[in-house]
Amino acid sequence: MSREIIIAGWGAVSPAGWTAGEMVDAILEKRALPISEESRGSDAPVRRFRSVPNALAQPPWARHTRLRRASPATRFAVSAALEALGSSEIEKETLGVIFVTMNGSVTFSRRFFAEVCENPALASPILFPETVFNAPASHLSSVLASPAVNYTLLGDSAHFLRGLDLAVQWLHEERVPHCLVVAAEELDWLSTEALMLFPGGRIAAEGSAAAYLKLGAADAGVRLEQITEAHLMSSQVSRARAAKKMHAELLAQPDSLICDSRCGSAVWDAPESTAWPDAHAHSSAQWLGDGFGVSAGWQSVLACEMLHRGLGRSAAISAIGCSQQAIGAVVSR
Amino acid sequence: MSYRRDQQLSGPHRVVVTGVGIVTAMGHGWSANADGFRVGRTALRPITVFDTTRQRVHTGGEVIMDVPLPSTKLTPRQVSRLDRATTLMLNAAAEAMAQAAWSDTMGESIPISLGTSAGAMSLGESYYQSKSLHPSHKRRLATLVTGYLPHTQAQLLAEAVGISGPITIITNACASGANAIGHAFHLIRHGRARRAFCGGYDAIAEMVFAGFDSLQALSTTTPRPFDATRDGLALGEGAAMLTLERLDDALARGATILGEVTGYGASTDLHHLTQPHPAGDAAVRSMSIACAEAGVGPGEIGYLNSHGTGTLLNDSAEGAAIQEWAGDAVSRLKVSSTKGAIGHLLGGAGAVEAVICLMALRGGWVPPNVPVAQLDPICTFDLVREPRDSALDHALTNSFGFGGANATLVLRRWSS
Repeated sequence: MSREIIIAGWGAVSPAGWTAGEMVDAILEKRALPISEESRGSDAPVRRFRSVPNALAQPPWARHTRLRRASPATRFAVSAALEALGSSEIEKETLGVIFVTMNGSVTFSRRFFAEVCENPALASPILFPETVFNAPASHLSSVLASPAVNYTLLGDSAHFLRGLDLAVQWLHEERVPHCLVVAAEELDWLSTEALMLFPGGRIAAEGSAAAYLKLGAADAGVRLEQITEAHLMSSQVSRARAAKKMHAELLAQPDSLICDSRCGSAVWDAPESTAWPDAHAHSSAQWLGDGFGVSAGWQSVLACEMLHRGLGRSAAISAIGCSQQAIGAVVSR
Repeated sequence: MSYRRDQQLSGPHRVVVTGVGIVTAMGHGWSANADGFRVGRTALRPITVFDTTRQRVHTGGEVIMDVPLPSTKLTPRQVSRLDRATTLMLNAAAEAMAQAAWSDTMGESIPISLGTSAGAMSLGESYYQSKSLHPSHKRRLATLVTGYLPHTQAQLLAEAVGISGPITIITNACASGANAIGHAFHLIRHGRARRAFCGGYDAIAEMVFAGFDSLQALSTTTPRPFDATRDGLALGEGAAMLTLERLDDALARGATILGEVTGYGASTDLHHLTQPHPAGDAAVRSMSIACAEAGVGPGEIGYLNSHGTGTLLNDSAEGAAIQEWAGDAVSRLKVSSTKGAIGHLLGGAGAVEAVICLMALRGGWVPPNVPVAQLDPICTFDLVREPRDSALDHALTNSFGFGGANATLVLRRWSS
């Protein structure tokens, strides 16, 4: 059996819309997506964020019983996952699911804890299960009807690539013949105001990204060439140093497309601004915003879609997370 | 852990446990816990970490924090900022690392695999309360936000014990700890790492406690897994950490081997977000996958540490699954739940219960279930209700969580 890993499909929900195509168009056109501004009151800071536009029509999957009360992050995840799977005939009962997030279903969590603070005896038993980190992943497996292994991974904005690495592990160990990696985040004042506590003026964003992986030949999709070590940041290892170690390991070709994690803030962008000239890089966060746990997923989808459109033969993904790790990947056509 | 298209991995390798740390309501460390579980001591007590006067339930498996954090590589400032969950985890980690005597970790990428359900939830609660009461305040909030993120807790662990490697935090609700050990086991078994540090942890937190109470899943009397009149679970807290390494490496360095991890299975129950399928079909699947990898059948499992929460639905579904999976061997299968003694440790449960299995394998005993007044008819297996000595070769532990996350580990007694 081939041990080559193919990304056979991908999908995304972003402030640009409900498909990967809309997201990539917005990035390639360097389109200025609208930024909303809101405040909880005169004493609260003004939040700046990019939210996902309302869908033009309710998709059929939205009527699934498990999605009636599900969080926005769950809906984003399901949409991107189904886009990644496309219309291909697959054995869904053997589909592994890896869900990546940083904030989880923060809207439900904030609402439930507000009820607890008010009066725990009246806190809603309907809300609580949806606050659990793996609720979106559970709903996703249920919608897909897959009883196979399902993990929810927590990590920073680079962690989607660790999800891809885990998928590779599962495929090589033959635990599953195919695997879906999905990241999703939803906006809430709790997480948006948290982002504002850190320097750089980043714009919070929401959405999802998905990649469908399997063993095989790259005739339909793109080939996964490399995932680097996840270089850990710590009190002893700065973000810049972790990034430098990762870049030294990344097998980017001179003509590779670069999908990096720059967001337009000099504070955060320095490691990548010094690593390669601007002209060669495509920076999804600059146009979409900070997608928390989705960020590297958007970078990955951008890389796959650009190769699919024939814009290059290989693409390097440089994901320098907010506080955990620097990790990269290379995909080719 | 990195991947390249031309990558060639070795394996499969045998994987052994060379260090264990454990903190539960039963006590700090291997000895205190082994002594308590062996005789069937119960360690539930009034909750003091937050005010429970407005809850239905006021007791749980709260850890008595009377043991100072062992010396680590963290700075005093880092230590001063630790939350309860991370403190529990670091206590367990220090014990495991001391036992493993890994002296040459610098420069080697050693994966960390952690399971947690709530992480440093108390810091998240503090952040919310501060933001709600004083929307414009910023002081110390960045520290709370950073500390709340579970990967920060893993980074603190790495710094504390002096290792560096990729971090995997699996949050599959109450199966997380077992998933984390299973993940680390597979990394080594299939040649992606030579050793790994893994485990699970969770602390009692108000939001989670209130959540289980809102579902009326908490016992208002005492938790009695597999009792026909059971009325729910008790929440607990704690951590267990394990050092895993290749058998040949452990032998070469003369390490004390505490047991072997031989099988791991995971599956997803699609029935409902919080309720298992009544027949426990996903549990059958996870047990079958784990035993197939371990190369053992139900008749060879000497002890099964059940998920056994004490809720009506969980115990009946797990009982049905054990019947289906064990078949003719069911009546000879020794089963107990240890959650009646220390409560349900959520993301820490799977790791703690794996360590209890290691204790049982090494000591040759089975930890008893809490007393059962009226046995549930689903128990066609041998529910161990009194302290019992028994030579064991293989033990199996089940962990099932919200979202249908099911995980099973199989462990083997080490015999040179």
